[in-house]
Amino acid sequence: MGGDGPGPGIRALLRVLVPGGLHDELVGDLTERYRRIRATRGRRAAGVWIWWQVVRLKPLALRRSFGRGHGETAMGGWGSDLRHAARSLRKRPGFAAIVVLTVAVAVGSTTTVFSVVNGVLLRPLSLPEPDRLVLAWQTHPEWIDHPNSQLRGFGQRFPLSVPTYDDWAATRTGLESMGIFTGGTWVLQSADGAEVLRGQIATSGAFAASGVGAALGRTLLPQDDAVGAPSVALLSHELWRDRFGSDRDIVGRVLSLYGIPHTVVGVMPSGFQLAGQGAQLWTDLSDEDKLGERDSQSYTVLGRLRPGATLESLEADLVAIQERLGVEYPDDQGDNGAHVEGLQDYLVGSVRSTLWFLLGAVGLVLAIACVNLANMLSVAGLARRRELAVKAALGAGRGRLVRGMLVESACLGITGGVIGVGLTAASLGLLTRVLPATLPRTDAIAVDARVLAFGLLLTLVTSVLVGVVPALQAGGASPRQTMDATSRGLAGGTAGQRVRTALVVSEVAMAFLLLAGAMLLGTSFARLWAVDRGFDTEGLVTMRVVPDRLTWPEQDDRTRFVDELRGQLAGIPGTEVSATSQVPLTGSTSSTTFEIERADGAMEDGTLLISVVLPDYLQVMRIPLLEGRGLLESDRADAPAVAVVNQAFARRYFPGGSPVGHRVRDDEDTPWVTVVGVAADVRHQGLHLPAEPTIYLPSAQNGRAVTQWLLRVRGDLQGAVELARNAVHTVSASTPVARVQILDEEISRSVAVPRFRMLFVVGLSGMATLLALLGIYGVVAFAVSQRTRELAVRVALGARSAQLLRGTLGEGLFVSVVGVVLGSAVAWPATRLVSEFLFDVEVTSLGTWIAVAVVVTSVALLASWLPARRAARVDPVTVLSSE
Amino acid sequence: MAKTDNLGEFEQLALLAVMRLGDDAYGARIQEELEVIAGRDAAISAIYITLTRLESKGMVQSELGDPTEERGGKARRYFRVEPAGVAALVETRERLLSMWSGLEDALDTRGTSAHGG
Repeated sequence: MGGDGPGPGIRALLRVLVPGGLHDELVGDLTERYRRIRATRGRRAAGVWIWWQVVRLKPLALRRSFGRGHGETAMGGWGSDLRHAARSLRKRPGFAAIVVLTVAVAVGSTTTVFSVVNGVLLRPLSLPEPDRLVLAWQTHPEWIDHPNSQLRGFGQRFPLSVPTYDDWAATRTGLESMGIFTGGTWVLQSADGAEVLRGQIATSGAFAASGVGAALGRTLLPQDDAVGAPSVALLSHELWRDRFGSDRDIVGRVLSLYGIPHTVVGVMPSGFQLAGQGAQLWTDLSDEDKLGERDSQSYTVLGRLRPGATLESLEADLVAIQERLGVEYPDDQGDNGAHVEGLQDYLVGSVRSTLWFLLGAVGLVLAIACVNLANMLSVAGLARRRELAVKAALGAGRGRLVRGMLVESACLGITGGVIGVGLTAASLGLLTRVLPATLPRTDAIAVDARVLAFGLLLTLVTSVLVGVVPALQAGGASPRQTMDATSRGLAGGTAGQRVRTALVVSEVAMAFLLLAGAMLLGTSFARLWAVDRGFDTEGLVTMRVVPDRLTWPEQDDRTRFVDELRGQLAGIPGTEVSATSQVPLTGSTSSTTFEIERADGAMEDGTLLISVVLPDYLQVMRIPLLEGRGLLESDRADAPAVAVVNQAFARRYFPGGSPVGHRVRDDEDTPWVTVVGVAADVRHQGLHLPAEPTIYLPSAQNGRAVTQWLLRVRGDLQGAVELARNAVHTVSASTPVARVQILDEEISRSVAVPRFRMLFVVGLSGMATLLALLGIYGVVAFAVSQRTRELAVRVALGARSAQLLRGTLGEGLFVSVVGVVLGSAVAWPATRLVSEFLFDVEVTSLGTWIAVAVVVTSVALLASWLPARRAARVDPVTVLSSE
Repeated sequence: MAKTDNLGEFEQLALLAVMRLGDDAYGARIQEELEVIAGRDAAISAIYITLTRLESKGMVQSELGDPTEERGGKARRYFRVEPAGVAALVETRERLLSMWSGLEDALDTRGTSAHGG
């Protein structure tokens, strides 16, 4: 309480609670007494007293009583409408609760999905001027028009070599600063053992472009880019906190990464990521990397646009450089172009369409809920038509009646909306756990001003949409007609019933749309999941083991390491063991261009997925051998070089013939490799992607590292993994085991986004169907109740109940058929939006449409059956005598 | 029977308070009077609701005074009991007294406190 009278909070409350005409004297009385009590008994007592007065104010009673006494019209201002609405709703708590709850769930779920869209897509990255940050790559002509979208993406984002980057950096382009980076993993050796760290290898320019400085120490500087400069490491805040206990003296300390000493030069601010997610640390390029050849292409450019430069102008700059380099280095650069993307677009590009799609779907459910509510309020309004007629007779104008109804629906809508937005805020913690782990930027999901504004806008729109039909209906009522009529003619008339039917038809159409989408996505996901992977995943565990480079420095040492580890692992009971350079469906992809000797003796260049494997790989993976022989233990370094290829290889390069006996080679400097067998196709890049031409090479004859170990375990997976860890430790205590994956789980994770999308839409369509069912039920039931007298007369005149049943069922059927037809008309173009999410399912598959139509029609019939039964049981004596 | 027969307990109290206060009968004073004399903690809205109802029955008349500073610039509404109000009070009192007569001794032990509450 401040000043002379009661505090501003009390005054505001009184302004709301006390009717206008009484306000001055009543508030004056309270003020006067408040002051007197404060003077005699103190401020505290006065405060308690005034609250006690406010609590007992009984605003509605005051309003009722005072309105009559002082001649203010019964139809006052907005405040009076509000109080009327509150009173009228309090009389029907069940009805009000259902409406509020529906709005809350609909607005809440829509706002929740929007909060995800907002966090992931709309919120800017937490880097300075993020819209000027771009990524740039080369393009590779061989892949850029590939029908397979993943490979096309690879062709568009083809990595750069250091020399190419140097040429880019030496030319003036639309970038004011730029650097390169690539992913990296390290083994950190310390007294506690070895652990694997993930991050990026980058040049100083990448940090300069990011515009973010170090929280402690410094970021990478140009001096770190020089050949011969000491190796340095920059830690993420999270690694510094969790692994080094936020040690402020960390700068200057030396870490052993893969046995190579790296000096810590700084710690980045909390949450910082260069481009991507999950990096724990950054290092400079090794001297070997800095001196890399032009064909050693593994870097992405991160740059900051100059003011005025655009993505297009930059791409043109880079393409011009690429054309020049193509002439200069035809072998390594060829027809490579350049491709530029905004950093944020790149990070979220893969989920953008999914998220907008989900928002659209949930918006559709919101629309259905609105239609249902409009119908409910319309029917409820009809039930109160006498009240409205009385008001009209007492002189309330049409506008007043409309306003009264609008205020009532707004009360419900706003209450529901506010609860809904509250639900969103409350459920965010849960939401971020349910979202697929592969969704980028989930840390940016929050209820911010934009989400709040969206929720409020949604609430207002909902309130208006929901209120407008009953309000117009209230405005249309003529008092005489309403007062005169007894039962039917007034029932909103045929016009009202027609509007309600139209609403339900639109509702059925929308539910049909969602159900069709759910059906397509569900079928698609089921097929995707059931697709033949080409190998058996059951009991398959993978682990990545990269031998410590200090203990196993040379190629021979690493071969020995593989042999020793293989021997150790083979000792685990009930377990088969093999190893490869890359495991299918886990995201690792390694391709190389080979020269292939075709059947006619001509040479053809082809890009092949390359898997370097231990000889028993195909058996352990259960990949069937279709032709020739598999790889054998005898295919050692000194034996003739051999390979097994897959069916896709055979189809592509030896259509109609057999590749067995033909030869391939890396390039003219490497020896020929003879194809000795053909294995069945395996899905490697993703369940939805067909097999690519693949070559399996025995590890003994190839220098590439075999680091992915496979254990096929019968029985206890965890126990086997423990034994495997021990085996690695026995062979080399300084070598860590990284990334232990149960392959089934890994594959399941790889389809997390499609699964989420499918489950989400299936859930929504369930809600939509339920709402449509309630909507149809409501309309048919109301129509029956309005026509009770007519039905009774018909029964009295000899109509059979079966006829009445048919008549009423016919109404529900009519609604659903029109809804289905309308829905299909809209769905036909709309489902094309879904087509990009579909695997092995045609949008136009007639079976889907028929199935959905049958479901919708059955639901409609079910919804009209209950009221129809009531119609059929009308007892003419009871009904007619009651009038 | 006339409506004046039906004065409720709080209506009686409010009318009596207005009469006792004479020219000084407005919301705050009436509330105070009920508190001090009758030991009744009445909500200000209850007082206005009751007196407004009695006004519509012609038992009370009210008019606005001038705004005063001690009330934050708000005017007082002064109430005055009309002859019909006085008549109703008299009638109610007589009816009650006739019912009371002869019972004073029997009810003496708990009379006062029950009445006051």
